[in-house]
Amino acid sequence: MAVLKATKVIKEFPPPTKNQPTVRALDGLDFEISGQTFVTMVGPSGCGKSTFLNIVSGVETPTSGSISVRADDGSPARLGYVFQDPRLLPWRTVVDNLMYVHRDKTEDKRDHIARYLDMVGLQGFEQMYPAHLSGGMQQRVGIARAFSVEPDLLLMDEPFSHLDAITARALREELQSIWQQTKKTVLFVTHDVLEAVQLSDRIIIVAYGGKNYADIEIDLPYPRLQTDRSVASLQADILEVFNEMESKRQVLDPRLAIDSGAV
Amino acid sequence: MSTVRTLVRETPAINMGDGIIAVLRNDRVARWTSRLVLLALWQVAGLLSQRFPTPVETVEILVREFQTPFDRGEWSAANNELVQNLWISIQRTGIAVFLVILIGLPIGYLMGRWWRVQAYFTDLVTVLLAMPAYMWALLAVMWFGFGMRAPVFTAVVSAVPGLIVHVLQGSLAIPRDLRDMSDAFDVPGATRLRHLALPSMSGAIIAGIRLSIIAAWGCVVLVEWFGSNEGAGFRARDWYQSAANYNGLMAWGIVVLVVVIIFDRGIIERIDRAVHKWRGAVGDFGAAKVAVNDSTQEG
Amino acid sequence: MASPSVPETSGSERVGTRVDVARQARIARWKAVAYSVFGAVSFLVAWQIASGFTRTEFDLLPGPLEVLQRMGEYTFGNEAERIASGWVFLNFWETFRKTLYGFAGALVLGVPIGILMGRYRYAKNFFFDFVYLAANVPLIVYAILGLLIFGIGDTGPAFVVGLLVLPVITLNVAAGVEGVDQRLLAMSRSFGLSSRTALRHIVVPSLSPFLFAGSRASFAASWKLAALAETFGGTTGVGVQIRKAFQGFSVTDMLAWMMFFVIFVLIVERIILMRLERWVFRYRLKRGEDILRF
Repeated sequence: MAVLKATKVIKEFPPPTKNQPTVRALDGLDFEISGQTFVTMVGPSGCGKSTFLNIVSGVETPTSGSISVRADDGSPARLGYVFQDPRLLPWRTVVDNLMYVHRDKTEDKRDHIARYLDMVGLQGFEQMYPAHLSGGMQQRVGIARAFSVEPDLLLMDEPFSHLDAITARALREELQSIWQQTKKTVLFVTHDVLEAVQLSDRIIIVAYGGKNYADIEIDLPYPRLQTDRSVASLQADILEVFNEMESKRQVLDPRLAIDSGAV
Repeated sequence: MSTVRTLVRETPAINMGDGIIAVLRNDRVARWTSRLVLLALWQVAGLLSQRFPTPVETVEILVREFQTPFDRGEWSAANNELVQNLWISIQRTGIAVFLVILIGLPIGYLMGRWWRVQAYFTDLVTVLLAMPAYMWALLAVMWFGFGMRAPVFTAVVSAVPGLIVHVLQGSLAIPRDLRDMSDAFDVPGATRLRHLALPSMSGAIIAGIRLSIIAAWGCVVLVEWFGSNEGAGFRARDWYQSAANYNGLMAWGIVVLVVVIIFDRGIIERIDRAVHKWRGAVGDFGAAKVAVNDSTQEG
Repeated sequence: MASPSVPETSGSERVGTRVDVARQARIARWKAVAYSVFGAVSFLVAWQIASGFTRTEFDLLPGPLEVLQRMGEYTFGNEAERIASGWVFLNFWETFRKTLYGFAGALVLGVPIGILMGRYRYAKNFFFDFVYLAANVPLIVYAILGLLIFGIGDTGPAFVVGLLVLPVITLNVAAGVEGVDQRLLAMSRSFGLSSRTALRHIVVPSLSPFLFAGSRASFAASWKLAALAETFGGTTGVGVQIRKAFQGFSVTDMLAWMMFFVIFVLIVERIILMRLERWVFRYRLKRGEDILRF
């Protein structure tokens, strides 16, 4: 049973000023994700990745097409979400921030949640306020929060892009190990190809304008480091695919400047 | 050119070794200097003009009010003209404020949450905001005569729109990213209200309530001036019209002012600090920059 | 404004129907207008019903139509009752004049004091109490003060309006000066630009939002105070008419003047000031955003 199924999703926005065409952020995006895989969506800036996640999480509705998000047994999926910025309630402690997303507010739940704080290495920080934590620690809380919900589908929107390189590297390795322990279905969005190759089982490349471009399975064993040869060579291959994509786009519209994002 | 000085700092202690200029420049001393100057100017103005009251005589009247028993009853420290009239005005204000919060808080929040509610109420609130309180006061006296209804009605009608606007702003200012996060995790409404909306709005709510109380207090005194036979406003007008004693008028004016100051500094500041202990300090002017660094490197 | 729809998040399907997005936006705007109209109409109906209930010999609550009629008389004149044509405009102009004088005085004094307070710590401490006090005085105290100092006449209202607006201007200018972005000043210095350039392109634009906010916020209050002071001891202006309505126990007259008052405040504030503000701050609006209504 597919966990996430996107069927010809189109999303349009009203134009910024009148007398311009509507802005089409997604143009017929179509794919499926089944259980327990780590799928990454990669594409240049402006390719509609964040818009897609907004629709999955219910913040927006598609203009046409549909997205279905189900658990293994067919019931509506429970979602977890990790954002680019930590999005913690600044006036609540770490543990209260985790409790906020659970309906069950009992003591048992608190103990259960403590486990996830351990997993991200924040045991002992339960009573601190977000303002007292570093950026990396705040993001860890966000990750713990998302995992603690034990979601059927975990959405991650460039969660490491606002962190410094060292913290990001550390968190990537932690994410790999957490994922090995919990084996959740993850949809991870990024513009960083190396990160995608390091973390995922499958890479979906989205072209600018929200169209499917490529769908690549990755078969390397875990754990992977960015310094592994296999990872690096695979990244090179994928970057070629990107360049191909870019040149095709330029052919279609020579007025477009190169918008390579961080590829 | 020297850069702009940033000002928020602890008051430094006065050292005996410093020169007199340094002492005069100290923060506390500066404040008291201005108060004394103001007082002196007042005394001079009073002496110059026939009508204008002087500080000395004003205080005399206050003492006399304290010594006169209320309404020909038994005198006591509680039962005298000063305390009783003041208490009546305060009571009326209290009732009005309770009603203002009861009405204004939910409407303001709902207006921020549901666009339909906002569209429905916006014009009414705008019009009410533009209406001067004293016109409501005159209307209220015409409608309700003497007694408690007129001051309470006026205070409620005048203060509710202000509170609604503040709460509305607070409601709209709930951080969008935290709202999206709550949507993504499917957090139920009651939890969102308690953990997201209310703490986020607390600053705006407190500011709104503070202004409502001050506005209500002003309204009650105003209505009492025009149409009541007890309370601070009545007393002030009595001195002015029946006794033609401007010192009495000034005395009660000062009482009215002092109540506002005690309330604002003593109560509201404490509440504000307690509610916001998860934050850092904010500048005196409420400016966005919390300037701790003194950037006055001259040259 | 809150978003026009709260999409459901707990189902398992996110389905889109092909809809013209621009048309959707237009429909949403019309819906908002409909609710506004509904609000206004329900208020008028409630008023009419209430006035039916309170008919006594004193005519405590006249209905909306009666008030409207009186407003018409004040605008166009009424020979029988000896109301001059354009009566309303004459009175409002008087009140407006005094408000302007007060405002001008407050600006002249307030901007320098504000700059001093923002820049020099001694000034801040010296003026702090005065400014704080002046900001919290109930309007009636001001009105009485005007009466005490200037007696009956027109100077009183102008003076107290100035007193009322002064702390707002001062505090806002001080906050503006204090809040000047240091990094911009440093950048300007690093390019070797003069103080005057920095003043003109950095300090003054940093000040203007605060000045604007302060002026706009205190504008409505200063109108009200001018009218109140006139009621106490003026010889001309809207406040005097209100006093006459009160002394003559005419609720109709009172309500008519109140309505006019609201209309004038709204016209000046929303149409003139808001347009001006939108133009001054046009660089700040994000796509599709509008100035917050209050």
